Amino acid sequence: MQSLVCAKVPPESEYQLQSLAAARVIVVAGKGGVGKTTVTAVIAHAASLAGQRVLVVELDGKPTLANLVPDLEVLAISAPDALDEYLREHGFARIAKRLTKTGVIDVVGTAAPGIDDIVVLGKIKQLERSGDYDLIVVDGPAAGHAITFLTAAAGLADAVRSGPVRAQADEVLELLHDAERCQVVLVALPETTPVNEVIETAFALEDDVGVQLGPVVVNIVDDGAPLPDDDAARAAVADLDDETAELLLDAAAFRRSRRTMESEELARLAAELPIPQVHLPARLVAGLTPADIEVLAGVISHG
Amino acid sequence: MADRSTRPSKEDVIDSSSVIVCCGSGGVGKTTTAAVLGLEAARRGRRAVVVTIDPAKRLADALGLEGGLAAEPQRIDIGHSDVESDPEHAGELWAMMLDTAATFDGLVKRHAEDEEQIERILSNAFYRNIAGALSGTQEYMAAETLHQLHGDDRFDLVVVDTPPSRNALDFLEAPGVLARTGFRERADEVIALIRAPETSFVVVATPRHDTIDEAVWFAEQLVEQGVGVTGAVVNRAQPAFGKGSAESAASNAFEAGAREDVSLASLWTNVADLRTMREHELDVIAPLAEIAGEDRLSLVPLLDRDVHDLDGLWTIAGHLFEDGPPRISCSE
Repeated sequence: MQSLVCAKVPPESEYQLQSLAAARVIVVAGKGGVGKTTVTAVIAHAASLAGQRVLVVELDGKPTLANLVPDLEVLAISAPDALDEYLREHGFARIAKRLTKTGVIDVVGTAAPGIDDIVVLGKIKQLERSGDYDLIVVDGPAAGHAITFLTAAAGLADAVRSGPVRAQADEVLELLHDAERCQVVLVALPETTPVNEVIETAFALEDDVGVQLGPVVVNIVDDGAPLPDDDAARAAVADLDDETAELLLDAAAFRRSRRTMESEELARLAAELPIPQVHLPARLVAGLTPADIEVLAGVISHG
Repeated sequence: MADRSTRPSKEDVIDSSSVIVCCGSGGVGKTTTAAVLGLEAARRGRRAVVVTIDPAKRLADALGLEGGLAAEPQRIDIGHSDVESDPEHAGELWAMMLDTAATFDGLVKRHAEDEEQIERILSNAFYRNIAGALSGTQEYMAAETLHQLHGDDRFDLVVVDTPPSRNALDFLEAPGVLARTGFRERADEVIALIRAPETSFVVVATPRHDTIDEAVWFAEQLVEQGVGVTGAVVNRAQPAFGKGSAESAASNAFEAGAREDVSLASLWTNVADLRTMREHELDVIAPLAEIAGEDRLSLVPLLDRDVHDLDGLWTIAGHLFEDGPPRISCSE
């Protein structure tokens, strides 16, 4: 297990699919709104283009992922279903039926994160063990929850001394601790708060879970053509009417200051988190389509 | 059922609500919006407490508090001249973070019959398990804390930021869970509070398909439940640059390019990019504008820096209240 602090990997951008898909299970994690689902779709699509048998796993029950990667196999895992399946497979079919009927399974699933998470991770482990896939990309939970999600196994292993639950927890821990089988890809935006959160999460995941971190994917990076500096811009608008000139200068100033903030945050992320970064360029849309995913997959495949 | 057919202004909502619930998917700026509403309420003389349930401690970030917020409400120095110069009308801003285990223990202490019972329950391993487990969803705790703060004389407005949730309505459904645990009476009180006319719901989104879909869905549920949407806030919207279209900017860029005026061409290309984004965003926002009502929807522009301090919150408050935020107009 490589320590973050001692990592010698240069934190330069490295547009490589290999580093993003270096384990059989990739859990994509990050704060809400940073684009976990986009990154999940991009990694899965790129790996599929590279000839891998890919399974995409989503945990939130929304159709977004399936719409972004229409050609890939997408499996929705819900905690109550996974628990039900687990009970059936372990000879508790009658209990499972009763629990489902009384709604207790839903209560357990939504109210007990430890059990909820361990059952979901157990299902993922089972899929990984099946050998049916070269790569399983999991659209993981939000950053705060990612830590509890991934620490569930250690928590249960501490609490339960024996039996099927303990065995399940041990097997999940084995998966999480094996860098060849599982790695976590964190997603950030090039802004202050998301960068802070990704740094905190990275250290917490390493300390509390001991899971291998892949590169940090920074989503929605403005890589548009460079703008003239303020002097050049003023000279360029000198002959225009005041209103038009002001509009052009304001728009340029706005874009330049956003870009300055982005590059400062990327530099800070590199300085504070010594793991490679992969940048996904901004697309000029308010919602991505499969065509955008294809473009972005090209960026991480060849860039 | 509350009569919500009248259309209070945003200022009325701030002045007359006793509870404001901010809802929306994760990462859309719910916590920031809640903080801004609390800040503006305090500026207008109210004693507001903002409760955040977000485990990422973003409210602490937004309010510039080092080390995060405590489980007890903390007074925030809001640093606005209007408040400091006029102590007669001075309001207060408080903030707190939900501590779920402590909230649950408090609940037991208030409802148990005697010390011995309290001790027995609190030390029971199964209880500890359930208390810890329920803290995972937190909607339950939010409802309980909301009720408590509502009855607290120190505050006349409680602003709640609901957690990012797979089922955003867990917050409303939480009292149902409460009922199952046996605290029936409390559940009824919480339901009554959530449905009271003084409780306002503000739906928060960003101008992206997924968060708008979620906001629209949530607004529909609120309408269905007879509660209604008091307002909608779309954070991080592209600001408008001039009145023209992206297409006209692109054709200006093309003409400048043809004259080999490289600088002017790139300035127009930039405007075309920014307008393209804004046009996409206005299309995406349209369904939310429809369900919330255009006059109840506010766009907060994307700022040239991240909002994580009081100045940033005041800037947003300015966009939401003082100058009047840009009204959404899909024909623009």
